[in-house]
Amino acid sequence: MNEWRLRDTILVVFMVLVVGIMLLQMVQNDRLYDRVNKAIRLMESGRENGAASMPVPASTTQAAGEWLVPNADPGGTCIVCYTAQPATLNPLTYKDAYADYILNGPSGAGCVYESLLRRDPQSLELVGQLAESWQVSDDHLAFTFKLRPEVRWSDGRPLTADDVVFTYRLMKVPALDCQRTQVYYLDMDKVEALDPRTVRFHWTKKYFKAVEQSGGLPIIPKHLLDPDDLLEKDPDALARKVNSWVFEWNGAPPVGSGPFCLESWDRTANRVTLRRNDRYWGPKAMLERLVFRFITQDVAALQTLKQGGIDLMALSPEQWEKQTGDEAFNRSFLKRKYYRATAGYSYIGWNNRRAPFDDRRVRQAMSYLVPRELINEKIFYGLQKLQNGPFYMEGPQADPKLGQWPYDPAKARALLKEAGFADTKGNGILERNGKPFEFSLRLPAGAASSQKIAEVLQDELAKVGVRMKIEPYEWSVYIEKLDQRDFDACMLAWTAAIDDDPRQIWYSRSYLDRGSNHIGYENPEVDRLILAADEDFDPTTRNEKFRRIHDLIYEDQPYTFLFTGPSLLAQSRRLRNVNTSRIGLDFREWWIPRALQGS
Amino acid sequence: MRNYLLRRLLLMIPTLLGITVITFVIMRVAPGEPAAIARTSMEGGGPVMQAGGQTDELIRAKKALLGLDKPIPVQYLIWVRRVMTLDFGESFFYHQPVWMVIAEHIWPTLQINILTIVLVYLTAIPLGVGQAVRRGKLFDRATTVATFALYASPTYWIGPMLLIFLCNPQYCNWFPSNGLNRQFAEELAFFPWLGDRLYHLVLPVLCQSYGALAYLSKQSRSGLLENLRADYVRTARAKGVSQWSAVFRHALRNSVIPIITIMAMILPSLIGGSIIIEMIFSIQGMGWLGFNAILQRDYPMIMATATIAAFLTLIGLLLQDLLYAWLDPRISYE
Amino acid sequence: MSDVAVTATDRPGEATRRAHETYWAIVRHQFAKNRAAVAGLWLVCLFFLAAIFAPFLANSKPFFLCDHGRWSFPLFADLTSSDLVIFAAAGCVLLWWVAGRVVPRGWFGGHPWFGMFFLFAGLFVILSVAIELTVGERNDRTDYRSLAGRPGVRAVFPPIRYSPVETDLAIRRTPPLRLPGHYLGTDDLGRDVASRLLWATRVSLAVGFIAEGLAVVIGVALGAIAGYFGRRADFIIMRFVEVMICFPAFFLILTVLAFFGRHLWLIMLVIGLTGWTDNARFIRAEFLRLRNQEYGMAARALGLGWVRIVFRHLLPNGIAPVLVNASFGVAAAILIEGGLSFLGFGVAPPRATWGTMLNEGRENILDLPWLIILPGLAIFLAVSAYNLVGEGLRDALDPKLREA
Repeated sequence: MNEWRLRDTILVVFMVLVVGIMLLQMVQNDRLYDRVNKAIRLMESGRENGAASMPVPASTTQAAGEWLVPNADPGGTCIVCYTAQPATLNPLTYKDAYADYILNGPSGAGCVYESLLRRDPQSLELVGQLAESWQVSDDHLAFTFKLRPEVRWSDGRPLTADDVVFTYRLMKVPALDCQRTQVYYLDMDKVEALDPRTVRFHWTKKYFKAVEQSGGLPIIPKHLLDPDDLLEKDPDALARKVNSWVFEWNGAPPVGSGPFCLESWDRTANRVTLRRNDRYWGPKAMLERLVFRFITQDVAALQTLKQGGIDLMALSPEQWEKQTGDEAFNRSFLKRKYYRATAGYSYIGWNNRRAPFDDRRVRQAMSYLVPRELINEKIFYGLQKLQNGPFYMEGPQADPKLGQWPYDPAKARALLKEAGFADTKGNGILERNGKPFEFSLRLPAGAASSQKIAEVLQDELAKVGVRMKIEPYEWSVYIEKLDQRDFDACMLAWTAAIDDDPRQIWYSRSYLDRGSNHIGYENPEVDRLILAADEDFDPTTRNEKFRRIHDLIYEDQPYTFLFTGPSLLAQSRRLRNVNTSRIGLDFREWWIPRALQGS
Repeated sequence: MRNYLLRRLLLMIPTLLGITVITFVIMRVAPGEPAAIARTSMEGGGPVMQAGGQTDELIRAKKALLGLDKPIPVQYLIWVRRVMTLDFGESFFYHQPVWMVIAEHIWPTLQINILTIVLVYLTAIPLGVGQAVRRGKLFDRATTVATFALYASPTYWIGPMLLIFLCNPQYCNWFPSNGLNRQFAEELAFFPWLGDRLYHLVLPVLCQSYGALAYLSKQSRSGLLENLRADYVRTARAKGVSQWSAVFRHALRNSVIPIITIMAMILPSLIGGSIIIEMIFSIQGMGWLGFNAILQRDYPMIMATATIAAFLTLIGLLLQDLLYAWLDPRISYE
Repeated sequence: MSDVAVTATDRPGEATRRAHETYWAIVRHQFAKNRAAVAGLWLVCLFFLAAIFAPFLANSKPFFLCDHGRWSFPLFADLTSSDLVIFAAAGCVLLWWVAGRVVPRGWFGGHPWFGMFFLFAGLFVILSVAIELTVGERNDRTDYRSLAGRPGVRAVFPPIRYSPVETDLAIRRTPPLRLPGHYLGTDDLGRDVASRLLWATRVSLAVGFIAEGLAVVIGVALGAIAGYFGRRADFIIMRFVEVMICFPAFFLILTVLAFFGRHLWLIMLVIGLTGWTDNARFIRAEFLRLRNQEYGMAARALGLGWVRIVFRHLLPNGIAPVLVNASFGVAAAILIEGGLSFLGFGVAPPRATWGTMLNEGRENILDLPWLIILPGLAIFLAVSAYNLVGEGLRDALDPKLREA
């Protein structure tokens, strides 16, 4: 009886449209309110901070309020592109490198937060950042740091020893989700504030890196995170609260002591915005705003760069070689290549506790079979540098007399023959004691260059009569296989530090209990040298030991060391003073000429 | 009818439980621990790790933190109890409540899916009708071939090809290649912002819709054809009803039944993003979220995504059956 | 559903057999009239031939080599056990088909093809076991191409002179038709694209067939049980079907592959395990309908065992929609495998599949467009072929579309 007529349809459509327009109107009002609220909040926080700011103490040599780069134009926005959005911007619990770069700066020289010490970009020595000076006790077990008098937080409050003590004590609470950091401080048992400007660290074991580690954590503000001393009364509760601190603390971005402050993090737009800390205790950064965009596909990132959407990004070797460098590109952009001492190296790890790689000759043969020069030339366009040992090749720890392990299939064949492998069945596959030479190489899935190197190696090995299977594993499973030492061969890369401690990787006890000595390397002489070096506080003699370790490892070839990579950047020409050093970039030095600041 | 409804609703519970149990078991049985995710970065084309121990004790502490140290059945029961109060827990990776993370990521997916649905229905049904009415003629043949070709083309082929040819300064730079908005878009007023958003969504929506378009137009075409041949249409024509009226008033209404019931299954598909499209166009929606959750062993997120998807599918199935019963008087559930 | 064509001179037992054949003959006749479907079938056969004879079409070793009078057959000597098993399978299928047409009716109890299926399946199993045991691994890396260029040496190569796994960094990333011999160019590591596309046919077809075969077997089995035994079995199985439908399938496949490793057999298994629900529902519907029809009731009244009823009477009639769906299912399985490889969850390198080639192309979209266009085209053609066959079958089986 009730037939659906055309007019019913029209009515329904009309009602839907009306409702739709009402909703849209509400959304638009909402956005306006949002913007207004944000503005109000900014004004209020500014006013509040202004009221709470303490009088600035007398200035020292580089006056607070001065600009870092004299005669440069302050202001402007710079947009930097990173490959992945960090999960959290919590300075204690972050897990990925990009959070590290944003919070501490790519060179560790402080960005949002700062630590007591940092490395000088030229000399690579430890210099004081928040600390003015430090003293090492005679027994090398106590370190006393004196803070600079002028250091303060971005809300104007002074940074005192209480903040330092709070940071380190909080880090050591077991319930805090930062196990990877806690591991380095197992031997540090006490931190105390001697007076508002002096902190003392106590360690139970002598260790040559103890000073660096004592000065290494980014300091977080106690007056914001723990005004009521919850750390003393109920550390677990505080730790849990800090664990869920991702960006905002109590509704606002936290304060730091660095030249930049966190302003906003728009997760859906993949963007973190920092603004200049105008109350910075040292010479101020030039840029008004520093924006980080996270673009996972490098094709998309390069296109965004060319369209003017970002000012700086890391290039892949292909992009460096093939997709940048035309005239249009060179007019607006600059390409920078530099090698960092902290870049680390990639390698193929042979399981030294499993046949046939427990035999040194077999490992050496494998190293003879990787055509590193050819791979570097063809796949990486000659941009990588060959690595021959576990240390930074141009640093004092590496032995400069060692050359690169050559590509020599003839020698490889001879070594394999010597080790007992022969093609007994005449089917082109090497055997020993009736078992064919077959093994599997495990690598993390999604690592494109490692996979290419593996496939080239597979082909080379097949020519000699060795069968290699490639087994990509997803990252968490891969880590588990490494931890359980369940692999024949693996591929990975390590980051490095300036004063590297080989104990983590090369000490035989690090094979136990999920240590980083996955391959089970054991050389008693290396062990002895490592233990001796740990307590050797004279850099000259210590580096001598490291060089000897380098020689021994070179002979043993527990890894086939592959490459150490460059940092390849594409930078917009409007950025000035982008200095590359062996420890990375420093955002605070950059500036943009006033005429170009508008974009 | 009410009994039927009640019975179906009650039956949803064991199904849901079954799904959650299976997902839970698969996740726990699998190797790889969320506790052991090390600090890495993906520089130089591969993951770079920082040396330095995980010790067994630290892993245990981390597990206790995440609630993973209890036996597996106990963990499952705890999870079920929390889900009853709609508390899906806290994501291991984001350190935020799961529903908050989902709420952040659901908008892009919803936008793409709603636009896809609108586009598909607005184009497929008229297309199918047009084909059925002009059966055998050039229009029908040409569009059948075209939709057939579209149906057989995988999205992961068409998507990158669109990127190569339409987003490339070397060919035609017509569309943006990634993301949902251009830089600093939220400083725009509403309608320019909307325009920018739609501009960015053109390619993803296109990629997602062509397959459904092909399928749905085929359905409507065959449905309408069947009805056009039916006796009652012949009777109507014999009585002097015009072709147009016969098609729209009589045949179309009956052939629309299967199409409307397909609509019921839209509910689950609204929330499920396509991982492939989101990866191609760098959009972070639900598909990307679920995919990353699997890779990061973010157990609460995986369980939440699977449960919500399953729940919506069940509701969708129920709706589908109910719609069938309502629209087609020949069917009844007693 | 079946047209019963009984003639007076037929013996009673023969009537059902002849009727059944006539039904399928009708289907075949209808199918043959559909030109698109036939074209699809030819394309499918072409893909099959490419998959089976891949070693003879793209190989770095020649068929034979005559070096100053000394003959050798490198290609044949280097055939792996899996190549030979594939030949054995093809051979057995061929023999089965031939025997089905040639062997007189009475020998196998009325269904010559069905009966001989087990015979030839057994033959295949014996052959493959024998092959696996006798044929060892071989690794022959002599450079036959340069050997053949020397004076006094004659060799005959397959049309594509490159194997899919040999890398050559010196010629990486060459576009098609630039280098002699590399008709479709080389990929990022210098491997020949044409050779990889050809050998990838094996993986894609294998995944398609085995995954769908598994889905058909599971679906038919569960659907038959649900449809035939009804009541409680039906209830339990339908709940199970619901669970499988509600599971986001792709998500499940990704989870399993991410967690348990990316083996080819696992990919096939998981795709099969998530795709059986449609088949089960078809068979269940058919069985529920047929078992209450006259001849179903008659068979039960005669006291025939359920095995006989199911396999002889119900299944042959109910199998039609499953066959149609199976063809689409193979296409779907190929698409899923491509999607998984595209996301980086495919088979481990260096094995070539169309999806992994697309994945490689995706990273270098602007530099290597042929790595996106060509494998995608291959997937498109394979999927179109199966879709055509499926639609042809559907139209052929639909009695309303038949002209009398």
